[in-house]
Amino acid sequence: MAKKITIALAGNPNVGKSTLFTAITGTRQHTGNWPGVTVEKKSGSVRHRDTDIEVVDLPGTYSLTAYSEDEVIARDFIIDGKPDVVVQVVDATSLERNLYLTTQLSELGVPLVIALNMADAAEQRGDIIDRKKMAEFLEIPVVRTVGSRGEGIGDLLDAVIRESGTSPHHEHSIGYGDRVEPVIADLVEALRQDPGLTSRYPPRWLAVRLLEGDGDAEKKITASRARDAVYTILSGVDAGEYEAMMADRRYEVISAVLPQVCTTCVREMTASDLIDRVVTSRYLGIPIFLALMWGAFELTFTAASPFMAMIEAVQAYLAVAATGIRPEWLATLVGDGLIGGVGSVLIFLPNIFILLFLLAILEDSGYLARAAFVMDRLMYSIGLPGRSFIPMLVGFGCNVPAIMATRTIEDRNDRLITILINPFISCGARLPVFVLFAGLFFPENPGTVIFGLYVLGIVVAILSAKLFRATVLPGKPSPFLMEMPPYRLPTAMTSVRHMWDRGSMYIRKAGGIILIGAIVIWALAAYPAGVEYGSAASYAGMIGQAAQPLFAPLGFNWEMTVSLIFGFVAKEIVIASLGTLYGVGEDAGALEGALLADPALGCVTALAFMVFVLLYLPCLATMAVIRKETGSWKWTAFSVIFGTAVAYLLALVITKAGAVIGGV
Amino acid sequence: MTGLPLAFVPEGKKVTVSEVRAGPGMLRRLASMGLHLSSCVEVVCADRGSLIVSVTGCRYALSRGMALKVLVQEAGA
Amino acid sequence: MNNEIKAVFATVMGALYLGFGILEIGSWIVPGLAAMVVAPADILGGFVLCVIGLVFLAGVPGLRSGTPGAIAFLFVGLLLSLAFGLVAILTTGAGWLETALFGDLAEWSAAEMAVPMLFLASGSVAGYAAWGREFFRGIARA
Repeated sequence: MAKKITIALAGNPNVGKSTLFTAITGTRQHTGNWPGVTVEKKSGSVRHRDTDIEVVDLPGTYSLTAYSEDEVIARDFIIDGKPDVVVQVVDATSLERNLYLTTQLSELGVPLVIALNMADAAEQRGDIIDRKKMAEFLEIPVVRTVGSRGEGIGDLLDAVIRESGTSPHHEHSIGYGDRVEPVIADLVEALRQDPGLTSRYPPRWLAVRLLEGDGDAEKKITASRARDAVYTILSGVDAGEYEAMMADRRYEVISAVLPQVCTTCVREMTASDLIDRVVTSRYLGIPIFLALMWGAFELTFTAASPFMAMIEAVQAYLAVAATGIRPEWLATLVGDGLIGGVGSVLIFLPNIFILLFLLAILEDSGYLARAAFVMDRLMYSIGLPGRSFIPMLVGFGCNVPAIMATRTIEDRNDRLITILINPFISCGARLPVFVLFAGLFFPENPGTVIFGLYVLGIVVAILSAKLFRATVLPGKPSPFLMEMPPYRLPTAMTSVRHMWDRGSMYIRKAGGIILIGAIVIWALAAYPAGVEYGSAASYAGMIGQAAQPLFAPLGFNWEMTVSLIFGFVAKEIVIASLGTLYGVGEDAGALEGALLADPALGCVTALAFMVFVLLYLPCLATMAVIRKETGSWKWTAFSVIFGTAVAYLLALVITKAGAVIGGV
Repeated sequence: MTGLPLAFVPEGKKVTVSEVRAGPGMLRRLASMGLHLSSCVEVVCADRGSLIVSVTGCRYALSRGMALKVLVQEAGA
Repeated sequence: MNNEIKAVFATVMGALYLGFGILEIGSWIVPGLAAMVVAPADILGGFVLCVIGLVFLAGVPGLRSGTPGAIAFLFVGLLLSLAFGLVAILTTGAGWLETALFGDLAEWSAAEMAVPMLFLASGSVAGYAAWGREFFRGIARA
């Protein structure tokens, strides 16, 4: 009869936890959501020696205070979810810091196993770690693992299964010294007055947390009858002072244990440090970064090109094949609606994935942390923390994973501003509009125009950030403090997985919202029954003509207006809509001809249109993510209104300026 | 006795932390990274106040504003 | 001595990269400038070449005086040079692929590959072969 257990993977960030998780669970993993919050929950399963093991990957944290959402999730899962065993993934090359988390985990009273990961790096460095001694001192089994090579997994799971059988488990906790221990004892006694509370949370752990002034712990006892007794004890105590004492005590214990367990652990100047001197240097830092960014974008656009052409060819082929479907309405639904609409999204897959892959390589190698540091000074002057930087970069691929990447920003205002300005960064979806219109109306130098649009997006983002700081979200950005992990050679597998985590959101967008949107748009263009597809008489046409007066000052005709409205679903659809409405179906060449022939369109209007598409409201998927990440409709609505207002304003300025200059 | 802000310590110097002027949340975060009273810090890269330091063998980057909040003294003082 | 060789190498690579970079940027102002030395008129690409050149050159004083940290400039320079050489190969490769699949292959010539970003990197291949392993011991796999 197979046994079933649940284990949780905890650990500092950058210790190779995800790689280890993948090594354990292989492909049997899936992503869900932690209830009530926006952080994603990764879990998987593995079968080892007749036991079914469910593995939950907790967010990486340096400690288990209530300072950030990640930490609260991690510890709540351990306390409430009651996994059978918690595996702490420890980076063998930074033992001292990793052990800080160990001291806190051991207070939770759950069976613990340490996976001493990246053992290969430590050995290569010349470190000698005595695992047996370490296990003795900590009273926790220590297993050597190398996640990137899949070494030690079997031993790890053996230890896990062994530990899950031991019960009940006593909490091994540090003694905090003569001043602190008595207070803890008093608190524990007070807490025991409420058995309901102590059955849920280990009393000593709760006492320690309360003594540290942990807000989440305080929340947990507000409803308890022990509350008043606890408050009495706490009021006689300076939480800040005790917290510092306890942190010191933890480190004392660690520094006592460490030398006996590990030798030659700390290295002087390493190759990493020397590289950092160059890469973060005052004069070379930013140019190096800019050069690398150029390389990434150049590769993205050029290397993606043949693949995009291939997808386009397949799409055209399918569209032609679809015309043979009967009944006829189904043919247009599949051909124009599905293939056209969804196809226009899928074409950008190579573009987005290559960019995300390159970013993943930069991130996995450790460079991106340095880049954030280098850019921090600049970011600070805009009113953003250096950490906002990586989400903004990801935004050039797709805004959806970019906004999700803001989760590492702890300060609420910092995070909010970063989220709100992200839609101004030109994502992959807007590119077809730019390529088409710039190519048609600015044949001399389309590249420059497109580059200019990208820059405009960045400029608007920066100015908006300054505006928000000055008005609705005041304050200074958080001071920059980030770990610089040692440089590592990224493996193709890890970077591909990293890329896939982010890029798959784009595909889900295509399969989900856009599929539905494409069908709706098709329906609006095809009905009322009997009208010519996409003509002025269809619903789509009627909507366009009704809304067109709003856009008359910008010089947009009703076809463009409707396309903008449909672009609300996904900006890729703008081109597909234009194609439909100009009556040219899938043939891009014919669309070009039709656009050029249209007397309403000139260079100025084209430019205004492109700027409008660049800046106006975020697409539906992005809006959904903004809503999820901010947890508020108010800000989502704000970003929609603000974006559209800015877009309208700038497009108007361009139109008027164009008229003044003489109208080209 | 307080000391010099970390921001002014030159490259290659080793110091010990004597005081941290920050709110409780930041203090906790620093502590969990190894930066607490009497911890040993070495400055690896320095540029006009913003630094990369080594603490317990790990590297951390601090902006000037952050480095000004950490007061240190000569190691061994 | 070893350091002398490194210093000379860095000086030469630095000067070459910087020189080509300036020419490529200069072509923006004076058309045809870069074409003289088989380089495209590419302002951003030129900027990148200049950056690589400056990284190499920044290490020269330190290398000549034997400062321990200066070698890092040489290696970052090598890395960047090789990385962008790779970028150049991939971009021309993609262009080739597209022409092969959708265009007229006869139009494409190998001359497209003769870009400074590519051929200068060959110097770095030699440099990396000579000094690469010595430096990168201790950088583990992610």
